[in-house]
Amino acid sequence: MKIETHSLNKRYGAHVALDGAGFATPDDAGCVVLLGPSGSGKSTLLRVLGSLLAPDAGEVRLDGKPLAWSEADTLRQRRENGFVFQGFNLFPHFTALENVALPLRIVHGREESEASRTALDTLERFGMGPHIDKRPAELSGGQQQRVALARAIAPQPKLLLLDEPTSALDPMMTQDVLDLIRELAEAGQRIVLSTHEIAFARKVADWVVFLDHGKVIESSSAKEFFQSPRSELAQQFVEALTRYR
Amino acid sequence: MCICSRAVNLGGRPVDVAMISKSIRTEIAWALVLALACASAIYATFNAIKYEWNWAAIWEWRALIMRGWWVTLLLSLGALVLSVVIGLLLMTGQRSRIVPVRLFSRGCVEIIRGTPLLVQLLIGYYGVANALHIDSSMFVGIVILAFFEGAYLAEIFRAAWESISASQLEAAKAVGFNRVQTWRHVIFPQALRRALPGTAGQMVSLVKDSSLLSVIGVVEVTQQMRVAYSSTYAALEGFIPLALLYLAITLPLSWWARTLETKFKYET
Repeated sequence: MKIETHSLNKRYGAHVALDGAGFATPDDAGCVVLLGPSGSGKSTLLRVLGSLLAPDAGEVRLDGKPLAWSEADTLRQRRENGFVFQGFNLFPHFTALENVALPLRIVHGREESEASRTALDTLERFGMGPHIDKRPAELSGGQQQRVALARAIAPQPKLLLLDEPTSALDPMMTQDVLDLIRELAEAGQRIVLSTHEIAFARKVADWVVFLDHGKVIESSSAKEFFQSPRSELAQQFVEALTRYR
Repeated sequence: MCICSRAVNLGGRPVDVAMISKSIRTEIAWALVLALACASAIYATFNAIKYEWNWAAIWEWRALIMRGWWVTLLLSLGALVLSVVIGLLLMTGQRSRIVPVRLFSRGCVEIIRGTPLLVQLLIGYYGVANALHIDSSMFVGIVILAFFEGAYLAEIFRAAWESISASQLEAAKAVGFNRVQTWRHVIFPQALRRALPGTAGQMVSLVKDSSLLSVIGVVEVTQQMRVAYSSTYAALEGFIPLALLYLAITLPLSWWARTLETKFKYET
């Protein structure tokens, strides 16, 4: 999928989250990773790409088609995407199965039995078969994130957007969840991922967008980015994140 | 009781049955001890003032008193349903983007909560209802009582609504829910659970506050009881059953609210 943005701006009061951010991936980018220090605008950019947040100014094109920002448009565009967040954000009053099945029924118009079967298959694929009737509070962080992944991919989204999906997990759970994301990427799921897991980015990413203070500092192929980052900032960042790895 | 039912509800985790029955036994034993202590205290009190009981006199009035109790029950139920509707309207109004709607709702809540129900009843009945040529004191009483409690409910509902975290709303957007679906499947069920304890308390208050409706001529249970004891001079014999008659409405309400709370329990 080709993703392009043009001078994206987004402010929260006095805070500038995106400051003219622009980049373009090649046509066949499968897994795009957003890197950058905390507060660099990764999460905001990810939300804009997924139509979860409208920018104050600027343009986004997915496969050449510009995104529109009216309420009806963003809803329609969001429904083609899947999201996973740092804090899991499951619905606490529903079971794991219902968290996955409900959007299939009421957003994607699936029949009740078909929605349940799809939800069950997806949860089983992620090793959550024994836990489908549990509510989020009864699941570990890693299990919750698997349910969140299942919820995001069950409707077969065109684009899967993951916002630091392992930042709230311990190292073991992190590896589990990263394995699942890698499998999805290798199976052809198109992904935009913001993360601090640089080793993972190196292995799985096709394209890297490096941000700082709301600006795109580098946008290059993963190979190029990790072998010879052009900006000093990116060099320091990669060096700092790999120092103890 | 609540300790053990919580233990059972922990999502099918194995629970030691022997431990539960032991804790129930402990609770029943303590309940008996406390009930006995209460009874002794009441007995000692009336013994000290050497009160001469005259239950026969008040018994004569039982039919009228029960008629008053039915009036209290019916008007409470009516006001209860209406107060929830008013509470929801005032809550939504306070969150409205339309300035006059927001100001009006905010003003209603502050004025209603800031003035005594007695004043509202008197002004509402002898002033507003009179001007509108509405004669039924029962109808006017239910409406004013519903507004009074609805203003409190509006704040309880608003707090519950606003406690739904931004991340839940974002998750709802992310899975593609529209506004109505977000309200129906995300906000409402979670807010309901959080509003339940406060709402139950407010409903109990409503039942008791209904006794003030006698000032506009509604002959509810407290008023009937007043009539009864002013004829018989058996005041305490009236007050004690009166308390029990109110408890007969308020305790089931509280119990029902607790059942609902357990039913909607999903957090740890």
